[in-house]
This record gives sequence, C-alpha cells and structure tokens, in this order.
Amino acid sequence: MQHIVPIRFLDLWLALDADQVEQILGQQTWMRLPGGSRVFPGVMAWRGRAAAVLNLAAILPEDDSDLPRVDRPPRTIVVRSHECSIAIPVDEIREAQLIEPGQLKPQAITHQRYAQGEIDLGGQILAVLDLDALIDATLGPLPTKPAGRT
Amino acid sequence: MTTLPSQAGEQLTYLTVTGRGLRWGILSSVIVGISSITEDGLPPALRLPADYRAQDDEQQEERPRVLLVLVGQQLRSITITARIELIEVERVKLVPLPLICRTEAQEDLHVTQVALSENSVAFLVVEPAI
Repeated sequence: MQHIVPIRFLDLWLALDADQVEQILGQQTWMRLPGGSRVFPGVMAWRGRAAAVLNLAAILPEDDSDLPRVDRPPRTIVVRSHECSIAIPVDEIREAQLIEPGQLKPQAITHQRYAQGEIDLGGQILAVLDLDALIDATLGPLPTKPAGRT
Repeated sequence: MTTLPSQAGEQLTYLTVTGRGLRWGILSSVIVGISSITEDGLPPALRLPADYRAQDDEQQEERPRVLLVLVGQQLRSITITARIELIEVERVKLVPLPLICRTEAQEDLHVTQVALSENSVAFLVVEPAI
C-alpha cells in the first residue's frame, strides 16, 4: 500500500508519494539563480540548508509559456528525492490518501511528464509524480544510498 | 578607483550585489577594484548571464560602476548599477548549492554556495571559474 499527497498547481491536480514529503509550509521566499534552469530556477533556505525550488509550470503536460507566474503560490511542499531536498510552490495541498496497489495504473488519460502512473481519486484522475525520474533526467542516474542524509 | 580589503589579517568579506530579486556575493579578495569609468580602457567583460548585472532595481543607483574581477590570471570587468555592500563572512552560514541547480554553462563566474542568514537566503556565493 502507498500513501499519496494530492497537490494542485494552477488548475491541475497531481499527486506526490507521501514517503517523499518532508514538510508542508506556507508561502516561502526563494532566490532565483542567475542563468538557472526553468525546472529548477532557484533555491530556498530550509532547515539550515539550501533546497532546490521546482517550478512545476516547466514540467506540465502543456508548457506553452515562457513567462513565469506573476503571483507566488500560497503553499510550499518540501520533498526528498535521491539526496536532494526540493521545495515545490503549489496552490493547494490535500491530506494524504491511502491507495491500494492496484489503484496506481499506467498513464492512459493524463499526459504528465515524469509520472509513475495515475490514480482515480473519487472520479478525478491524478498523475503521480516520479521525482526520482525528474532528478535522473536532470542529473543523470545517481547511485542510491541505503540510508542517511546529507 | 576604490580598493577593497584583501591583505592578510584584514576582515574576510563578501562584496554583494543586489537587484531584481537577486543578490550575489563574491569574496572581496578577488575584486581588484571598483571603478566609475565605464568607457575605454576596461578589461574584457565577464562572460555572464544578464542577471548578474542586476539593473533596473528600485534601489538602482544612477551612476554605473565597474567591478574589476580576477579570473585566474586574467582581469575581467562587470558593469553594474545595483547596490553593493560588504558583508563579513562570519555573518552568514555557507551551505552547498544543491547539485541539481548547478549548471555547466561556460561562464566566468559560477554559483558554488548559498549564504544563509537566519532562515533565509542572504545571497548566492559566486567564484571565478578556474
């Protein structure tokens, strides 16, 4: 069994693996990096270290805008993937949901990039983000460590 | 031309540049000087994204200034109109830039660390490319 955390960015609902969620925060300030990528445009202070900020707009299925969001999303969810702490500004976060093994299915309706599959939550189909795949695509495959954090 | 503290025994400081939501800092020991001359006679400009010049900020100063930076053995320049400030190293906590944020771009300066102050990002630490 697996827990997922539904999040909303703009009008799109997605889900994150709850095991990767470190903390849920309100609106946070972060600093953009000069010449930074669209996917990871900046850094945020978190628990005495720097977390990479993930711009969900850059990995949405239909990313047809080069313009960043003018407003700042009201919530921030901090997740961990491989050895990276990632802060994701989002518009809404719902409580974790327990899903049965068969509920996570291959993508058929959603077209989200970096998804491990999709689930039906009360008639709404959500892509479950695969953050490890996103990190791998950005950095190349990293060696997995059994335990411990930097 | 203004010179900055760089001799042994003097307080180690970062020179920070603030503007357009970005604040970056560089060890003052690699800044050879600050000049108000923006015309002829300057060393070649640093190869950097435009973000570094940090212009059009609300705190923009009218008079451009030129930072003369030592990159390896070469002297390079960057013209800024943003606010600059000296910050003592001991006033911030330095942490690594997340690996996933690093770029392979061919630039003369690279962000290598993040300077934290209390629970926020104070500035981005940049170093000359070797």
